[in-house]
Amino acid sequence: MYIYLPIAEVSVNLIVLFGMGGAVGILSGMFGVGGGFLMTPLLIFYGIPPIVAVATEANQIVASSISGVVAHWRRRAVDFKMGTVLLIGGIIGSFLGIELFTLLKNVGQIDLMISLAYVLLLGSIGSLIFVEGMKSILNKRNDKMAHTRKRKARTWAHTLPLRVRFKKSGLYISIIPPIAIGIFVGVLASIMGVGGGFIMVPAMIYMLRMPTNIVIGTSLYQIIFVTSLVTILHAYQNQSVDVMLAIILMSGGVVGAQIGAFLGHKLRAEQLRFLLGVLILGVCAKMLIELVAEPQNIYVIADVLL
Amino acid sequence: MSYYSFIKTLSVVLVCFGFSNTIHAAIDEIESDLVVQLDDPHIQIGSNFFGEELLIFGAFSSSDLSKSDIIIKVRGASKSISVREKVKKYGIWVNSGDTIIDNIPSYYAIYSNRNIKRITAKDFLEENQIGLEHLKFISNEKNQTANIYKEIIKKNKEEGIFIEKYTGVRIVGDKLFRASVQLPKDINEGSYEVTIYFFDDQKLVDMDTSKVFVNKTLAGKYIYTQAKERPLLYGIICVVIAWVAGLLVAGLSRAR
Repeated sequence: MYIYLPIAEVSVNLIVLFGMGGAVGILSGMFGVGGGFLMTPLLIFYGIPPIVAVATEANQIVASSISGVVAHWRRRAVDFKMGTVLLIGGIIGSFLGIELFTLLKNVGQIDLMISLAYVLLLGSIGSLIFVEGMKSILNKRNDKMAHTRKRKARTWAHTLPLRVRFKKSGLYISIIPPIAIGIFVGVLASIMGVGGGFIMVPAMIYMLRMPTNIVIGTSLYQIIFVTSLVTILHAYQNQSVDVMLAIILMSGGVVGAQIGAFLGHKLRAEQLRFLLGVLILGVCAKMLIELVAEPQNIYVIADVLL
Repeated sequence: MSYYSFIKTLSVVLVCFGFSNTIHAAIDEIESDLVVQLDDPHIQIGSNFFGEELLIFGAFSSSDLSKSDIIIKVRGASKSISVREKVKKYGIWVNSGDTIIDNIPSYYAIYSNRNIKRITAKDFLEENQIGLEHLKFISNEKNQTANIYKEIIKKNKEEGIFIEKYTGVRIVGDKLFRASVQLPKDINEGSYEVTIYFFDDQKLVDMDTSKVFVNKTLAGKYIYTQAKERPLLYGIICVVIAWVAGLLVAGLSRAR
């Protein structure tokens, strides 16, 4: 069954898109990542123009994050204070990101830059999570080592000025690192069409030393507002949000996220991290192959947008 | 789905064209009249549009049927495209600087009753840009454009945007012709020029040009207009929809 997308200006198969939304939604609910880092490339492979894919995916993440955050909020697994600090950074980052996006678009290198950014970020973060996940799984089997891991290390987040107490996370740290994380994630949201959970979650765990169980809910809370802003900015500046496409993806994604949140609750944290690492490395490998392998078409033909 | 029936039940407007030359030279050329009817001068894209045929049919009269030929050219608005060559740098494929090529038809179809090279002289085909090889692209780059042009034609042919069909015009009986021109599913909105050439013994005896309009209908058109004209409001509505969808599903799962 085909449907015509008014902004993307292509006809697409409704079932395929719905399925894509659902599958990515499950991952989103399980890992607290918006799933954008999978969905955006999938949409581009499917023939949606990249600028429409990025902007529309941001819109979809709003919906999937909201349904995700409610599930976490009910379990009291959201640190609203920390989330708001991250959000302040996110707002600044979104505006910076939109400017960067327009700049890259104008020099015609946005596709390449996005691919490189994906490979770099997913590669480094994927391996980090993968290694840590492996370690904690091994440590669990070895009681003596598990004991030494328990001790909380102080990071530079604890020594910078402007320190604030975050009761929910049990932290007394400077607000500078969370704001910096927020800015970075906001930039990513606007140029890559991702929620940025895959950056924020490890950053909160390893840099801020937040408890793992509230990290996902808190990042979803921040993502809702950042992607809402990014959607509006893209709609305003590039007119590239396809509401029809967004609704299809939302319907699939929102359902998937519920299943995912349920599954995520069943699995143990270190298993989750390990799985997330594998997934991120998989996407990274695919992007890398695309960059290195001989392209099918040596010429890249694109309409000149007026 | 109702959209489909909407497309199919569009008003069929028959257009009859009068020709100045038939009036001027009524006595001499009465034998080569060309009356064309476009099946559907207003094509609308519904929400599940996936390709549409433009039926072109008409009547001609000719003294010798075996020497009569028809070429139909359908051309969309011209656009500019940028072409970047991929080059391997530091082990990865990157885009080189772009070459801008102008005057690319957004849609181009040639339908004829036999190979156009045998219908008329090459000069005429070149002059009127009939046939893919005679399309005149304009480039800011002087050299190395031949390969790029070939690639553009190849890509557009694959996507069904450029069509060349030498068996596309059927001559029925001794005075009727018809062709069903395939429009691509991703056709752009706008005006499409349909030119019909009628040849008798390799000479052009009559031609007609008319326009077909492709519109986006209903929801599609409305969304497109809102997105372009009220981008801020449109963006806010998109976000509101996402919020409602998310909360709705969260609420449903709580009720369960």
